[in-house]
Amino acid sequence: MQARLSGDRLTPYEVDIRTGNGEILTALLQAVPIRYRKESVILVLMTNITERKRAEEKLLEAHRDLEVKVAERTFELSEANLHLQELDRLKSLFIASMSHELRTPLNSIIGFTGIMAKGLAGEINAEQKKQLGMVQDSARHLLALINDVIDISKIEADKIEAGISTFDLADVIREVNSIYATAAQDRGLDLEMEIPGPLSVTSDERRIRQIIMNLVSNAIKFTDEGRVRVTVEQKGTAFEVSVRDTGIGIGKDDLEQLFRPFGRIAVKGRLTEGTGLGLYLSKKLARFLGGDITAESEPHRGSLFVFTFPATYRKQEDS
Amino acid sequence: MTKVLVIEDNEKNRYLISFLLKGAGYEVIEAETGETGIETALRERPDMILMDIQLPGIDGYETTRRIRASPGEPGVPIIALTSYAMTGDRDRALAAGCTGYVEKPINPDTILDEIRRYLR
Repeated sequence: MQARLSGDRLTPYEVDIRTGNGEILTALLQAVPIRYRKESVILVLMTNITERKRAEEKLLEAHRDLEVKVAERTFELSEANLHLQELDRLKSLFIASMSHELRTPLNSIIGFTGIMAKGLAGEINAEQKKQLGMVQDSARHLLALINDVIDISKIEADKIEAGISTFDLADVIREVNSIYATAAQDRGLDLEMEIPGPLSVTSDERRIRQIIMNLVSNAIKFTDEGRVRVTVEQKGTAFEVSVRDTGIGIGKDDLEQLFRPFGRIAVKGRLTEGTGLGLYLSKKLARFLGGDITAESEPHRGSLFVFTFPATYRKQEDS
Repeated sequence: MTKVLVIEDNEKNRYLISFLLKGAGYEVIEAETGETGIETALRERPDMILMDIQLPGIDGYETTRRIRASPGEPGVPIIALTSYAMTGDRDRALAAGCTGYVEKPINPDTILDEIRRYLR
């Protein structure tokens, strides 16, 4: 105790004491110098803290148990999460390979109806030709749907690969415009484009064309009079392709549905067209290329879709 | 007569292509698998090969590589039959030694012009 006296106060400390009947008690020892009857004396206090000590130990133990349990649960959850991710990936992979199997018979349906409609397998009458054309349209529609599903599943299964090349974006837009020129004309619409000279892009040309085609075809589909206008702007290291129409527009509530699968908005007489996956897929593809698609619209005034993407593709890090 | 070898496992699609080719005056020989395709190619020495990519056993890429690796191979045009949604297929087909590719579904209006480009 002498050694522990520093200054005028003893640092309290605990001691274990064996009692007469063999029980071990914990005591807290404290010493305080005081004046007693004009003398300097030391007051020694000895407190039995056995119960408190036990309670403390129990608390500590419970705390440790809790930590172990939390760690276990966290591990289990992350295992479950990994399992779910794996299941999700397998699901997408399954859909991708199943869709591939669906395509083989469709290819022969489309091919043979084409052969017959052309009269290559013998002469047919006008009604037969018309009906074969309908078979072919339906088969092509189904094929488009399957192709969209394959693309989406591949993106979701991280199985999509970018086919990178350097190309002129202006050419792609001109090409898209010429593909849709007749469709626009048939609906009495002006299809316009504004391209500020050659625009060199190093990315997936096919996907970029696919996205722009989707936006232009939507614009034509949902515009009854006026124009569809495609413009390009370079913004730093990115390109911005805008497709503006004077169509029926989209209400605020419907705007949120727009990029969801089968989020087609009920418009009289237009519901049967398209796969219902176009914008959903386009947005996924745009993001895959490091870009995005945004939409603004006002009912009866028209819509604006903006597709932004980096001029040079860089592989996306896992998010 | 220009001789074309069609390597395609699906009977109907094989018939479809053969029908179009025969109609245009080509002589057509067929194979259902990559393995028999290689054999037929080496024996018959066709002027062109139409190669399906998804084949049972060895696929179209490997079949192409093996034909290209065979001694005395004269550089026959090999045209891959690829699917639209399979972006990677075209590059892989060319890397394997294909001369070009034609997209499925086969379009009866354009297929003949498309393959004629590759004939030497």
